[in-house]
Amino acid sequence: MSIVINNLNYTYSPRTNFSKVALKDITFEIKEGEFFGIIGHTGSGKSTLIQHFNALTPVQSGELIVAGIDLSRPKTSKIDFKKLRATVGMVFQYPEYQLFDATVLGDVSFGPKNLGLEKDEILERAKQAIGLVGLDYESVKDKSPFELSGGQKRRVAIAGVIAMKPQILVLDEPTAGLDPHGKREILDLILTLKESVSKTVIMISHDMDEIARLSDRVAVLADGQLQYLLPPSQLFEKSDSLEKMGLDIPTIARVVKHLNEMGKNVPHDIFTVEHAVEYFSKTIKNKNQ
Amino acid sequence: MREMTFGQYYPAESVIHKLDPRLKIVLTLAYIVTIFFVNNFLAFGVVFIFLLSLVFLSSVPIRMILKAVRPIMYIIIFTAILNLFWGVDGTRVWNWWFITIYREALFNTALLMLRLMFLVMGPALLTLTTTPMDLTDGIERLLSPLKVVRFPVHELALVMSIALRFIPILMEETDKIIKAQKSRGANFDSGNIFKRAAALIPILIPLFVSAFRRAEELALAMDSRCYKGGKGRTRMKLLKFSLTDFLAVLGFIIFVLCIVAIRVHFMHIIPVH
Repeated sequence: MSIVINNLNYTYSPRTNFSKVALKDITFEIKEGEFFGIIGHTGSGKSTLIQHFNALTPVQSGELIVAGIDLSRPKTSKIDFKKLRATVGMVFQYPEYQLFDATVLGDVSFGPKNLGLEKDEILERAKQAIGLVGLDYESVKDKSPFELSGGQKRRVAIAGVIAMKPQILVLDEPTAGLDPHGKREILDLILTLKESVSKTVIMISHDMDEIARLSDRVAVLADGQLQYLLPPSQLFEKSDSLEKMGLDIPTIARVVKHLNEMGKNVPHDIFTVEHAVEYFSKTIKNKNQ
Repeated sequence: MREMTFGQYYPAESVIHKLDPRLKIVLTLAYIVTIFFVNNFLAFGVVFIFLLSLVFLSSVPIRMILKAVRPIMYIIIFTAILNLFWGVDGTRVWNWWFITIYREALFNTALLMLRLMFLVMGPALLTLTTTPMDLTDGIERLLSPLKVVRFPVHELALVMSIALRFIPILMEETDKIIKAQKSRGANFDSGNIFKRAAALIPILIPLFVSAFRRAEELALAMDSRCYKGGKGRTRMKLLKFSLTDFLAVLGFIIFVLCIVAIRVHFMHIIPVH
């Protein structure tokens, strides 16, 4: 269930004078079971890239194999869209804006229904998905999604994707526009989902703290090109070049950087609060001994 | 869908782009009227040269102008075919069973096709070289005399420009919603007509919801900036006639004179209809 990308290129409006190159020679692999972060400035090609993963954007040139399905040769072998979209679940930015059904249950059932499942199976999956995203099935199932709060709406939208039981979950800025509490809840939810439903998670985010905390590896895109593909510990050492691309580093990484500039000797691979707390309490203990 | 741009404004720096939008609108209307006076090939030659030089001046690729003809190509062909069998007297050029084609009908059909094509290409040049905003601005100014009879010219123009402004935004929104529902397995391309219509619901409802949300936000934003309609409102961008505008008028008058002269003098040489 991996994603293999080979020399992927994409240009918007090709052969016109408003043509815009969105992806340039992207090559990498996302492994099964990975939490994969994608960061980059607005317009760097992140969204275009992830839309390739379930064939919302057709491959123009290059090779793309998602969970064993070759998306690069749509002409020779017709892509099984149903299978592909059941395998790759896509949570877009502000997913609550795609809710449409009169009831929460109806909306969450939309995906499984499209897969052509049996009625019982659809209901079972919807029930499970609503429970997984932390909503009370009995009390929300007959409510209109439009009368829920913002955070709840987003959960319903995510449940709608989860109900398809995707093995690969792709999220485009899942925490955008939420308050810190809501952000934390959604991130915890994503971790839960990774444990229970989708083994592989791909997440786009502008929040480096989130990326640092969750990702196994991070891809950095700039101007449609892959700049770095590293684990967070190595990536955030390159704060200067990240800044040049208009990207931030995690808050803790910035603190560590300042400390080192002041002459303290703190290891560079500290970039999450948990790690920092552990390190500093250890050093303080050592000093006191 | 993102590749679709509404209207068809072709951004470039040219004399034609810089002309006063009011003038461009009036001249386009005058051009349309003139085309109806053209009734022979020589005059169409003049129209062709005129239009070609305008296209050249505007630095819009000819391909873009021709694109405007494509949607009405079927109408042109259909009318042409009807017209071809219409003429019932004159010189026979072709005869087969009960179908007879006359020389006059052949000429008329050719003229008709040319006329329809040139009719579309003129306004196409207008929309290609004028931003939708400039167009509505121009229309508002041209209609402003109607204010005397309490016709809400400003409000109408505002509604038009907001609508135009929101088309790309709503298109992008539609694109996003379609993609989101597609990734949830929605299928818009198969099934009978009822199934397809039902498949639109998951797109239309979110689209309406978001359109209303945006409308409300816009109304609030306008309110908080003390917008209160057209009365006493001044403009940031004043439209002024420049030297090029006068030259354009001059050029157009010469064009019309040529057409009139041809119509008066050469009627006997080339068939008239």
